[in-house]
Amino acid sequence: MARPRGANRRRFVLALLVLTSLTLITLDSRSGRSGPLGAVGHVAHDIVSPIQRATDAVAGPVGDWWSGLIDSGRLKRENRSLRAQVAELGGQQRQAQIDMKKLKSLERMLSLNRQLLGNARQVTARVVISDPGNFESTITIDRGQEAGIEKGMAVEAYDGVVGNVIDSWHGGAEVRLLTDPESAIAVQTVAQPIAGIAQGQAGSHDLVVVFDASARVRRGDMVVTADVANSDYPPDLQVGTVTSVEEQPAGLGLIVGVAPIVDFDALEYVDVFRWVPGEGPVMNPTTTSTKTSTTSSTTTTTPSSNSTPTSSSTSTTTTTTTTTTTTSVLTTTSAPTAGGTG
Amino acid sequence: MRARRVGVVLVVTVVVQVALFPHLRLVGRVPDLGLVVAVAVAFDHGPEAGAIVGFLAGLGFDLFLETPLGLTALAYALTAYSVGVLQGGVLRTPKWFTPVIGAASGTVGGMLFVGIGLLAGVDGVHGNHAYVTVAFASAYDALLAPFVFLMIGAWLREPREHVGGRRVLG
Repeated sequence: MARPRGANRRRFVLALLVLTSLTLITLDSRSGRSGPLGAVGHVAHDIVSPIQRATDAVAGPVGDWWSGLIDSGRLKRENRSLRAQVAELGGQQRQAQIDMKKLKSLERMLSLNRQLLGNARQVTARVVISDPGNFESTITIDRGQEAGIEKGMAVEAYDGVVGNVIDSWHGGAEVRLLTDPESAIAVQTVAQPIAGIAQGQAGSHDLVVVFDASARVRRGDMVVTADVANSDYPPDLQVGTVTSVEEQPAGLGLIVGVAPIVDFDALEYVDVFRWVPGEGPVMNPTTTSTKTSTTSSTTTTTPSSNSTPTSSSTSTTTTTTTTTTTTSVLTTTSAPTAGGTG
Repeated sequence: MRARRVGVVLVVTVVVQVALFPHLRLVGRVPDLGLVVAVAVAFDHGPEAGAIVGFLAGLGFDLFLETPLGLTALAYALTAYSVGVLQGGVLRTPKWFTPVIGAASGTVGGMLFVGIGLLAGVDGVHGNHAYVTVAFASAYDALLAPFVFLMIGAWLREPREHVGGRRVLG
């Protein structure tokens, strides 16, 4: 029998590659990344992670320059918005200082001892691979099973929920972001304890939540994780703010758009809650450092030398103050049953 | 084709794709470097070599994606093979040809990825967003193509044997 040559050989090679690909797709879709195919992926992550860390130092500034070049208009708008927020936060910071004094006083009254909260069950990890593809939203972190991180655990940045662990191995873990289309998380607004499911959307940074028609939701409301059974997430973690509310016809409910608080493009470090559904109550002291710059202007009015009742000279002094506030929040997590809502 | 050099190209391609390009997004999208490399190989060395390189580059990239293993590999292999077959009918390649090939292969590869992904039940490839993503990624591929073709052409050039009585390595 003649050996396949030329065009026949080309077709044979192509058919072999197609069959291999289809077999891999079928095996991977059925068994997930827990089998031998997953082990190969973990090894690849382990090999590339150190290279990623090394390239971060170089690629980070280059990436920032590139983003600035591409998004200069958006950055200018964002800058203006941030300046306004800084002014607003100045007022809030003063209120926070007053609240801190009250909190300390209440802690003393309740005899809460810091040592009782020593078993902080959060693991801080560094993001080593961020969102490598175009059709999914995942990150890879540099700590995994050796740090007690398991599949399903909730992941948080300093300002809000990031997502949950979908795969973990020795030396790393993969985290699905809230914005991934396959992500689902039980949420509620701060004002009303009516839970809805927030889901990611393909091609969008916003989440969509369907609430019961009886819920009263307004634009600007803060959305937090809900205290429901089967949730992978401890309650009362910040998720985002409501950006749109659309009422469904015939009282079918509300479709609410939520902008996540976390800037997923700028994630560097995250905290993983070493807590799995059904494990039981968890008390976590969560320490949050908030750095706020406030700009205050002092206007001094002095009469001019040839003073008349109406003429005067005015000098303005601008002072910028940077204050770091550390807030400790006691988070109590109830024990849901096993299973998981995204 | 030189197997060791192809191995180096594949490793560098996957590392650059997952470690560097997430920092250099164009309108939030990353390019398909492995696809452009495979197409460049198919262009210089034929459809068979292109399909194999596309399959391996795609498989390497698949290890870092949440989509089923083999999806990117299949899309890249089929695209590179097609380009290799069509290239046989091209007599001359003007300067504008490589960006066009980059854009066209990016579009074909992206649409194959979306189509096979839909059949495999991948959630993220539904809707208009997928087509917009393919369009931007293809534009990025077009920008990269001239450089990648140049580098692949130089790096994987076959050694010219016995030129002027001496063996010359390319």
